[in-house]
Amino acid sequence: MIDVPASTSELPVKLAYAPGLMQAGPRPMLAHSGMTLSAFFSLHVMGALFPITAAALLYGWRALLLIGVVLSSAVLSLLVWRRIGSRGRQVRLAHTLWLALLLALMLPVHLMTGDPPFDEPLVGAQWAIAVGAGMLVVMLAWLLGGAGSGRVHPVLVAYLFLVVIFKQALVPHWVLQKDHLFLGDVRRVDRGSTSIAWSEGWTRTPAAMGRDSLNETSAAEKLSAFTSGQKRPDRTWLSLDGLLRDEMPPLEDLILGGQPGPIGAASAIAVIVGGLFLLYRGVIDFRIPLFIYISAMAAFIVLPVPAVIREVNTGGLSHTQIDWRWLAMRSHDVGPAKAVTFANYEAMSGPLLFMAFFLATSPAIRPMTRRARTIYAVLIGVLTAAMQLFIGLSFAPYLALLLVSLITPTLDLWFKPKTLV
Amino acid sequence: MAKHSAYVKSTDVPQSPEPQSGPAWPSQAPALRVLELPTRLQVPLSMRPGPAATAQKPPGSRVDRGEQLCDPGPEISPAALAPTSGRIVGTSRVQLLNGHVVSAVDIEPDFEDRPAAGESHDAVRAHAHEQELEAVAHVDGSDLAHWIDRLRDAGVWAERTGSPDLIGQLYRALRQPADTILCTLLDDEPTMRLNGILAARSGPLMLAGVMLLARLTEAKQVMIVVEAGSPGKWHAPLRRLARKAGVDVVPVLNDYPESHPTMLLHSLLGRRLKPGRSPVEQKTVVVDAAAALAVARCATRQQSMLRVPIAIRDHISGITHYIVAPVGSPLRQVLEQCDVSADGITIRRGSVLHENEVSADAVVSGGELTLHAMPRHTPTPADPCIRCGWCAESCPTRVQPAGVLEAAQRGDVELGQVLGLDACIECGVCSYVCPSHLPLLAGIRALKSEAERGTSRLPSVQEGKSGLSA
Repeated sequence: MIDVPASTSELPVKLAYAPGLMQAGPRPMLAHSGMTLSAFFSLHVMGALFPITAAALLYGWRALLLIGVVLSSAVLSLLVWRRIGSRGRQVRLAHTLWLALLLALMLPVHLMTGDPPFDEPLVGAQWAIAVGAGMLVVMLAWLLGGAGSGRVHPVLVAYLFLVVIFKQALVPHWVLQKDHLFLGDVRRVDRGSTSIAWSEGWTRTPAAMGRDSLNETSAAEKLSAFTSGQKRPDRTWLSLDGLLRDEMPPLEDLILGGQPGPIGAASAIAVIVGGLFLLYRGVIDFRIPLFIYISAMAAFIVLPVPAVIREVNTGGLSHTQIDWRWLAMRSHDVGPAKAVTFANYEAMSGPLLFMAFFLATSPAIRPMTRRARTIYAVLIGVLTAAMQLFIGLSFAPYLALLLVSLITPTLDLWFKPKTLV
Repeated sequence: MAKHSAYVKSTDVPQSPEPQSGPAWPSQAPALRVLELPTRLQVPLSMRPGPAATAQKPPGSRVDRGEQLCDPGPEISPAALAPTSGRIVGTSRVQLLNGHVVSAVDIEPDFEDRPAAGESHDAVRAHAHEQELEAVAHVDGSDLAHWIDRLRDAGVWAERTGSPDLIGQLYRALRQPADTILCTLLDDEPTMRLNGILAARSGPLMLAGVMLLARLTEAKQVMIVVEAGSPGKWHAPLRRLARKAGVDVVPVLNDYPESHPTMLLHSLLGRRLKPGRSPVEQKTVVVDAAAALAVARCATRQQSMLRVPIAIRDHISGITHYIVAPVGSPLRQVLEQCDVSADGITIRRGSVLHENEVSADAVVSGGELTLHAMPRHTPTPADPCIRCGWCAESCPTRVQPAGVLEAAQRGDVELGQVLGLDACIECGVCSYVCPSHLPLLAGIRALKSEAERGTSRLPSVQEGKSGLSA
């Protein structure tokens, strides 16, 4: 007879793919890892804590209020929808809360202010967008089959629906000054003027007295206007080089999040750290964010972009003439360094990274096999880049993901794993 | 040795980066305690269900220790022997430790050959039996058929996950030569190192059994697979003699379910053994330490297999019992002798994750040799599948368990086969990791049963043997 203490050594399985599994669940049981759906989604929430923290720092308590409102409305909505039909039984609280949290992180903070930076008739009802977002995502989760069944991400549909209906209301404009982080009120802003001196950026702009936050057109809006050819040059022409040098914030602002943006997606570094946490805990596959990023960067470099936008007068009528260049790095006006810098701006200005780490990795929509995931990620990256350049930077990653996720069942069908024996 | 390590690393089996010898490795291999004879033995007449074998003697007759209890039937099965002297009191149906339900002869022992108090298994007394090893070297290797009969007559019996049907493998080797003998000392779980302990205490004898099998099958390659990280002194005599005999002792990282023959053959030899098929199809005979010891005892000491070594893990007290019990001992009485109450518990055979439950009324036989006495299991209600993919990622044979479960729900065998049904070794890792608590293993088993009922299956080992005997 030999006495071996009962401990984790009782657990017979060591998992290479999910090393965080044992720590994540409740007390591991003998015949089961102890992992539950709630624990699975709490792992994701733990990863999202990094963007949430960045949101609280950059946009203050109102960002947390926004998250709270969306989550509350989602929970209340869930109480109703889970009673409806057999689909209601497929909806789970943990899953719903996770979806609502994701959607909240994609919204701008000014929805939680009394006087948002957009025009009538939405002013005064902007909070209703946040409440409606929570309700909408639950309704879509129900409609698309609840936890597990849906092959379309409810958050993507909900956000794109909101963009279509309330486009201007979702364009972010405010960010807290660096000396008012977290404690400041994002609503205390000078609405009349541009506050950030872009030559110095958010990090070095001197503090403006009497207000907590800064008002600026986001980098995403500027880039989108230029690459889609809608930008009117201030002088007779505007080159890509000039745009990056004179009008865009320093890249480090985009990395830290010192710019107006959706509360969860603005800080690239917070999103990356949160994503790395998810990778470490084994809940997402590294291939998806990696190949989305690589393929998007490659596409940004290859796809045609305006090297120069010229203001031309023809017969007294002023219009713009755009010099589109494929593989702009070959042009001596742009060059390799500028082309790569441009690609970096494109990647950091929008929600590309947030989408890559937190949405594209969603179990419901990503393919099951590794090879299929690689193809899926490459398709998302390329489509995101094309849409960011020519349609709109702030929502292009979500639209691209929605489209590519529709072919996931086909990818699953084509790429079946080869068994060991 | 480096060559084998490379093989091990080339698999996708989840493996720990460093071999570890934790508290599960005692400094010395513990002795196996010989249990008292139970008040009644139910000796199985065959290994698996089939034509009912009839007892040779009527109820009330006396039997001697080792006496044959029934005429050998048409089925290729080891002889049913009386594990002790006593009186036949009737017949019954019993569940074996490999899950089958078969006919049995009930014997009331007369306790004339009861073990002396404190007696240990003869493994304990096994020193370096180099003479026995020497004797095996002179065995006529050309007469495999004769030796199969001899092993059958001695009741040598092994049919479990880690050591597939021994007699069946040897029969198959008659017409399909095997070039490799693989003796595995790997155990499924770190708290139950039965094979490791048997090899540590009777290494030379076990090696004799392995060498005998190698001579009989004319296998060129002989491997003894030990767990990497096991204490060096456990297997020192075995290693020394194995080196002399030209046998490879291969250390393998033993992350579950590496001990399964399909995994071992793939990682060590690069051979693809379909689960449930005879390893001889891949020119390999696979045995574990207990089976090799039974062969060696029969060959060198003319001892029949009347007792079986067993490890019982009491998960409530956290104690592992290593015992030797007579074939036919009811599990309930075995547990009682180990101070484990058979009431209010769940008993599983083999690895816990196999989800193979046995009744406390099952009897000791040549099936699974590891048993788990666990608190009664209350099934957790399943949530919907969220396609997390952990089941597929952790599957050692790259099956898509969630997909197979879906196929099982639809009754679609073809879809299940496309998703890897035939490659499933039923290790249960998928059910273990599933956050939705889906009954993945149960679904796979249900679909396998469905597939077996179909017409288009390949001939099984049993069919091969039947054809041979005809």
